[in-house]
Amino acid sequence: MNKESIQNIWNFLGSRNLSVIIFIVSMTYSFILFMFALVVPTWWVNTIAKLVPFHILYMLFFLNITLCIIRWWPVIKSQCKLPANPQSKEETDKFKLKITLSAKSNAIQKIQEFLKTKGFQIYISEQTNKFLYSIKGRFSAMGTLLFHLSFLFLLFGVIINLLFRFEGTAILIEGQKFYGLRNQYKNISPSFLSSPPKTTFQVDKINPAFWEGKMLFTSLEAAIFQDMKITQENEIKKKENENESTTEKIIQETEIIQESNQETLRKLITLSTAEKIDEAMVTLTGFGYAPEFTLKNLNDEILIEHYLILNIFAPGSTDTYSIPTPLYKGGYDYPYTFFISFYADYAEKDGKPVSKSMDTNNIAYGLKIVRGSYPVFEGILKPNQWIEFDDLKLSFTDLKRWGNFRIVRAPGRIFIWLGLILMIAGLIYRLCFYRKEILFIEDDNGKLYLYGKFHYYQNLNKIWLENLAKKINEGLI
Amino acid sequence: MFFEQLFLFIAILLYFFAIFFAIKIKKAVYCRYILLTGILSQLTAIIIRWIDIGHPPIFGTYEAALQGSFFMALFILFSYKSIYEHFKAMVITALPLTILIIFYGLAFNTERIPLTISELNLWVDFHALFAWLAFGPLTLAFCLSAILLYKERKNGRIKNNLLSAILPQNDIIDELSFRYINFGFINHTIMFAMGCYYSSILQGTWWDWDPVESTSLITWLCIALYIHMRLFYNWKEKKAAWFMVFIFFTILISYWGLIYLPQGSTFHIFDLEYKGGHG
Repeated sequence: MNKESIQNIWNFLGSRNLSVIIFIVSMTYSFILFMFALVVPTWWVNTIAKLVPFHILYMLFFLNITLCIIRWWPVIKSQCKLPANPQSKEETDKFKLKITLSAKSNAIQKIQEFLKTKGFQIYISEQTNKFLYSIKGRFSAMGTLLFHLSFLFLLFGVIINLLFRFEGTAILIEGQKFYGLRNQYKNISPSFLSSPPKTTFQVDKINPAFWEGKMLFTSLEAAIFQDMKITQENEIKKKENENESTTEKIIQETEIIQESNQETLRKLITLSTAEKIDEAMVTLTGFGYAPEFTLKNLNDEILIEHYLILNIFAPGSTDTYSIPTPLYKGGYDYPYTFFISFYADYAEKDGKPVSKSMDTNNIAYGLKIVRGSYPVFEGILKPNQWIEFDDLKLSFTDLKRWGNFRIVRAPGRIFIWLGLILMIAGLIYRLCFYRKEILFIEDDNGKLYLYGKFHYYQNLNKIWLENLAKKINEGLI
Repeated sequence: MFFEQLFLFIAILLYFFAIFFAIKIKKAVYCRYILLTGILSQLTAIIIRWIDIGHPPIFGTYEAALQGSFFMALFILFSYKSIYEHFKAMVITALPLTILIIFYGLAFNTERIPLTISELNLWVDFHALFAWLAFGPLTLAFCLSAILLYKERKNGRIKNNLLSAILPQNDIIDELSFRYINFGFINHTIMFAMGCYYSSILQGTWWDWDPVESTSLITWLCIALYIHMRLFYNWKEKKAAWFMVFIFFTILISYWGLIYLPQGSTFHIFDLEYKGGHG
């Protein structure tokens, strides 16, 4: 490949022709993704958007923008310059609009005042007083640069996120502490170089609110305590050394922070507001109920006592629970499956249990216990009500709520945010404050000429200039 | 509810009067005052609804129609101050569209519906506000492009005295359209930025290829392409006007067409029921 071919390729990559091609291909791709989004879930569409053709498009897009910036930078720079000698023929020829005025020569001083009020910068010939040059939006061409540079900021932010972004979800019940440990997450989607962020907090209360008791959330918020730094290190070490059960449904340890000074660091997080906690942004994305499951023998010795994280929301939905192996005690074997449903506002309708509303006015549990495939109990259980089956006693002694917390650390967000701000600023500066130049020249015969040069809207500005000329001629300025 | 509908009805009536005055009366000032009164009446209806429901009325098709039509009427009114004498042309072409949008909104549920959690955020309010601030000028740009195409079709031989009196020259229409597009583009970009930021809070990601995002991106790309074609490839007047018609088609889909998408395909909240029970 000779030098000329390389130069041609280089020119094409930084050309407006390629920009147009990229626009059209981008539109087509967006349309394809739009069609996909109608029939498949969003995560699938996102996967399609990460396929090779899309990556080629993204690469071409950023290459084109970068090369365009490099290629057109001298032009932008020249567009920001002031003319060295505005009254010269060479410069006046560049002004496309020219009007001959009938006003007298002393009009220049008045015009100067008028243009100043309109935000023009004035340059007037001190010696001869024969011309006036005024300009507004001198650097507006920089807006184009800012707008296109913003895409590079966005790209940088995206790359940083690709490398260092961490997203995880953790299910935590009221009172539970979160230490940011890997095994506390239910799901994680780390990037190449990311590790879980240092984030510690304790969930205090989770409060959902429903519209007229119906299945329509009007509020879902979690109150959390953030100040756990004093004990944080010890707690983490303690946690790391513990050989914990990894079962998803069991929370064995729930501690409530009692110190009064913690109240000052109580924060509210909701579904629609992310809260920065240490290194990560935390959002509450969902909730459910966690009843306390207590199993005793007939001598009232507690065999099992812990909170179950169950998917029993909305009321009436059923989830199952089987006692996992690590909890077997004293050689006992518990071959039971518990089918649990929850009624927040219990009532009976046609002999069947229903929930009148979403609010927890009258809690009841629908419980079915199966040993192997043999049912040993089926009925409705109120909180703290005990039932006996085989040689065991069971009750739901407490009820808490669990929340699904999304923990995100995205170091690229600042660049993305900056990119978006630059984009808007660049557009506003370029399109709203575009460059306008007005030139008044008085020739040797005392005749006045009005020139106008505008980056946009030549015809509209011609009308504006004619109006200006009219006002000057009529002595209104 | 009664007063809201009453003021809205008065606004519609006044908009009709404004169109009538624009056609029949030579002086635009009367038309302007009638339009201004109509806008104030619609604003009163919006405020009444806002007080009644306790949040800015920007959710659901009815409320979207209230906002969209309000901003359109407002931009038509602003065109009066312009020295380019296109106010009457805007009243005659864009104001019927404004009325049409209100009637379209009235076909949907006008009852009070509480906000879901994802809608309870100032970012959403401003996201929607800028969406309608983009919709207004872009629709006016479409109307101007339609006028231009109409004039081109008649090949400059518009015999109707009324039209020849109120329609600006083609080059003026063309540049006015471009100016509205530029303003719409800025607002569309701000809307995008706010939506992306809120998505990062709500979904944890800045971009999700949701159908609404995809169609809005198509619109944004189209406008960006329009600006490039215009500035660097000299696409003006007829070519640019046809392109604007295409852009308006994408705007229609992204602003009004998404309620017809399969349920659950977007996390953006739209009405899913007509009053008449159609899907």
